[in-house]
Amino acid sequence: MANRTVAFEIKRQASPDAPSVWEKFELEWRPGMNVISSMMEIATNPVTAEGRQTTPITYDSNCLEEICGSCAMRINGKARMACSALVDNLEQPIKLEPLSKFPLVRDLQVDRSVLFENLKAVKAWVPVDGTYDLGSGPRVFPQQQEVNYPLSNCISCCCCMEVCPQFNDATGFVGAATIAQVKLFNNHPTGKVLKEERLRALAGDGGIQECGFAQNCVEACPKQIPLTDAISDVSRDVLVQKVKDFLRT
Amino acid sequence: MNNEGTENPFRLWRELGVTMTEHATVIRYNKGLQQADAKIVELLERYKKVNLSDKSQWANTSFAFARQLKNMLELSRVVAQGALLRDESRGAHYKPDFPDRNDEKFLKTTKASFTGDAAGPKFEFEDVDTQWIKPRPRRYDAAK
Repeated sequence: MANRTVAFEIKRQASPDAPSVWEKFELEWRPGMNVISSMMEIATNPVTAEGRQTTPITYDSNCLEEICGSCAMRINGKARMACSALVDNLEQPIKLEPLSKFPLVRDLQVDRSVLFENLKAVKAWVPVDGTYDLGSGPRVFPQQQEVNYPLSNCISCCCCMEVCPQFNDATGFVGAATIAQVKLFNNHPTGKVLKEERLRALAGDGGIQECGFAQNCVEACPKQIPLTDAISDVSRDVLVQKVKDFLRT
Repeated sequence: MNNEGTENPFRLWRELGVTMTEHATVIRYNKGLQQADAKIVELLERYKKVNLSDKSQWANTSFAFARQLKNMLELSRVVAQGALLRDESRGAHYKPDFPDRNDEKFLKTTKASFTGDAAGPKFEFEDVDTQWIKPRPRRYDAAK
């Protein structure tokens, strides 16, 4: 068999203000290659398919095993992790684009700090910091663990926000990932001391009511987190919280 | 950044990876480790002629990578030379020429410090604190 090649088309942009251009690359096929290993290959020989010298592609990546969440990008139009996108399973030419709803840094690298800010806003943590040993925490029943574990799989890749029609500047919607984390930490026996604060954080502008139930998030999630279930459950809790707060005042 | 050379940092990196995977993983031979060290010296020499295909000032990941590559090369010498100093098999590291663990000579922690010399890092050994647990042969075929 003649040397098999793999064709790539990559959308590139040198800086946030620069115009974007498409560059084509052609690489030798290797067994088991994925999108990240292909871009490493391009870096060793940064020449386009037309033979023009270019620069290595800028992208975020870290673990290369779909657990760190940093290499999210649009591959053939779908938001997904580049490390788990095997070239053999993709239609060619493989089109790579940066996530569209986040501030672009360069090429395929975007600034996803909005998710971090959202997680901070809903206090997505268990408050146990202290000066002395508190001993072991309360027991969690296996049935509860079964519910919590999938939620804890979130890798903060932002794919669910990229595909969400409601996640945009007009609504300021927090996105599904943050809501799933609210459910996770509200279920936690120690984390639930902050339950009311978390629910109130989701009650205002850009809160959970912005969800339009397009259900794209649950389709796109690379970790199969039951995001729509989480949104329904948290939505109910937010409503109950609003009523309670109304009656208290 | 403005180095006008002919070497691509990513290619040097790949050569380093191939060399280390071949000679410095689980099964190690002293001859192979010497070859690996010689190869790293060659790569360090070529590193001086490294050329970035990306000269931009913004989010230049090649630049950051090329700087890290220097440290990877130095650290690889620590791995290769440190392994050369131990003629034994310990833990997951297996030297077929020395199949047994040698606690007399090598029950020690290897410490390496950066020198900047061509000969590579400086090595010292530190004794392991065994006052609480006495070392015993590791056997999987018998109870302790």
